[in-house]
Amino acid sequence: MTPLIKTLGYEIDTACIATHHQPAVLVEFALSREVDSRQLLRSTRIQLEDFRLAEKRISPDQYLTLISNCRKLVNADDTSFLYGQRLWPGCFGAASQALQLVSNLRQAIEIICDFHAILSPLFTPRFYANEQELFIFWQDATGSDEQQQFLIEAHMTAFISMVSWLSKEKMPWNFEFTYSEPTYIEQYWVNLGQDLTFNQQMNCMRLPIEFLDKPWPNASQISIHGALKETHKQLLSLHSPQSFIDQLYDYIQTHIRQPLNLEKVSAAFGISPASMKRKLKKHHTTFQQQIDLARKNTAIYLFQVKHFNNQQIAEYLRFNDMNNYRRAFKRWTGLSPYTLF
Amino acid sequence: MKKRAFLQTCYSYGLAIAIGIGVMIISVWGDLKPTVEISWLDVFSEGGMVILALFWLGLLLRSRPAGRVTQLLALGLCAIVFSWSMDVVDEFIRMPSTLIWHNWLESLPIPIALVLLSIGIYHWHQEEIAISAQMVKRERYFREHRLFDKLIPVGGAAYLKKLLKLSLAESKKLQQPLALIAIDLDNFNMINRLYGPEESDHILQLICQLLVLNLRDEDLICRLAGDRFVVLLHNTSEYEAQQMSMDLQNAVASFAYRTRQHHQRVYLSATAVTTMARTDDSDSLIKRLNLEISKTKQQPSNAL
Repeated sequence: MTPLIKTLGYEIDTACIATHHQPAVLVEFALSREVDSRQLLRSTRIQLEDFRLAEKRISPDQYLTLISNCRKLVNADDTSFLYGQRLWPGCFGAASQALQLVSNLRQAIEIICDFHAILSPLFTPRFYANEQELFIFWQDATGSDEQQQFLIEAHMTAFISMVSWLSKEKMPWNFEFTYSEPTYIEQYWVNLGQDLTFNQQMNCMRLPIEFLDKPWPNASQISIHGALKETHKQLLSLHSPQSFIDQLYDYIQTHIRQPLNLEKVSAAFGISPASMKRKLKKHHTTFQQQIDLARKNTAIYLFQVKHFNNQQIAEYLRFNDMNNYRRAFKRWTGLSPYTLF
Repeated sequence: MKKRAFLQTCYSYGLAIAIGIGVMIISVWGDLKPTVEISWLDVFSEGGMVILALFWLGLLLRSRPAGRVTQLLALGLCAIVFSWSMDVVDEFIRMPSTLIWHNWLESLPIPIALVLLSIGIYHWHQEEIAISAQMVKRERYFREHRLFDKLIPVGGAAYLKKLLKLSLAESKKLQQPLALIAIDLDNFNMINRLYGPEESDHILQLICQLLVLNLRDEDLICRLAGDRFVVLLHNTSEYEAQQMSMDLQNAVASFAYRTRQHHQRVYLSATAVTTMARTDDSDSLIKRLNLEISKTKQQPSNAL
């Protein structure tokens, strides 16, 4: 059987991030805080020279080490937020140019989601909406482990800061986080807003739907097409437009109603179950965790968008009895489905 | 920083030369002890003392700006290092006890060192008093350098929270009103984007100093996060607090900032809200204050 997925996405050790893109923003910030450059780049296998040459690509792993160094050396609560503020539209080639020309929030979200391999290689934004609200949730793309909270703070700040800059409007965003309230909550208040809930199921941002298609100033409907075309070319020049974990998540998501196991999914990816396991371990996750994540997110989606009740969700996910569903749901979320929905 | 590095080498060379001469003098006049007579315990304990004293000297020279106080303390420590290292050398070389000055090298520098250190510490004490006077609006009750803001020389959010607890207890005991002002720059995101992060960091530093100038001695300012500052007003009524918050807003509005590179005029304005400490604890008080300022900023008159 030929594999369904022809090229495997980038992994934690694939050299896929241009050094002069996101890493440069972080290094520039750290240097502005008078951090020693040698200590900052320690064990990242990056030289200061690489930023000037602007040719080298580094792996997510190297980038995560850089983030870890930066956090230790700058040692301030607002590092992730200040880094986030500088991130977008940014100077990441055509993708950044396209972001600057968007005419409404929908277009901005589309660009961020479609070109996340360029704009946000470590964390993947995913978007959906119902009649009242739009949802953007963020998922780990390469197993960022300890840096996860930093990346969530940075990416949400980046998005909010960019949107308020381009739209010249303050929007009533709501935020949900999977982790518990940090001690430096005031950074969240000032950089994101007051509507925050912690210990939730997803790292998610919500906004009333009327903001989605509201026109923004300085948009340029016509010249954006050129920029988008260039961005597509830019995406093709990358190792792949998606990470391996993203591909796996998408695969499970589309086949969620079929019985899935490690052998079957590995075959679809054209790799052996052993190497699938090895790859997942490298990204600090397991096959079961990925299945659970996809099912949990599907259940939440069905509830929020399709307004399914628990019975219908259980049926959709092919649970043959409600007890099984309840037990599984408890494993995914730590909560009973009846308390959540 | 360069000046400090120079000073450091100066002290270390001086010390090395002095110790070298000391060792030479001792070895010329004395003779080597046989290995069996060397008390290794003494060698280790006295050697350890020398290393510790060198460590103190290193810390002092690295952290303090050059000046009279630093000089006195460093010279005192140098003399201690010298005398203790002579003590160590003494373990290996026996001086004939017929020599009148046989132990001068190790005991004479100690009183000199102690006198120098005492004068140094006395001046250090004076210096601390002078610095505290400058810090009066930025800290109160206690000092905790780890809670200081990294960018701006005022306390951060953690310092504010600790301090607010103490202030709440105090104002309850004395039955005095305690007022809080939150002040937040308008459109700071835009300033950040237009003029770059370096310029906006500089603006924040200047704004902080400007706010400090507009406070009374007993008031205290902390940086909560980003461009939001919180002012703690002891024994202040709501009316007075509102007056002060207006004054602070006016001060920001009339601040004629020009960018460092192109001398462009940047027009700044700030939103401020006041709140009185009532029955709530420090965390909920800060939360309430933030909620109020967010609401005020969401109003259309404050939109971009």
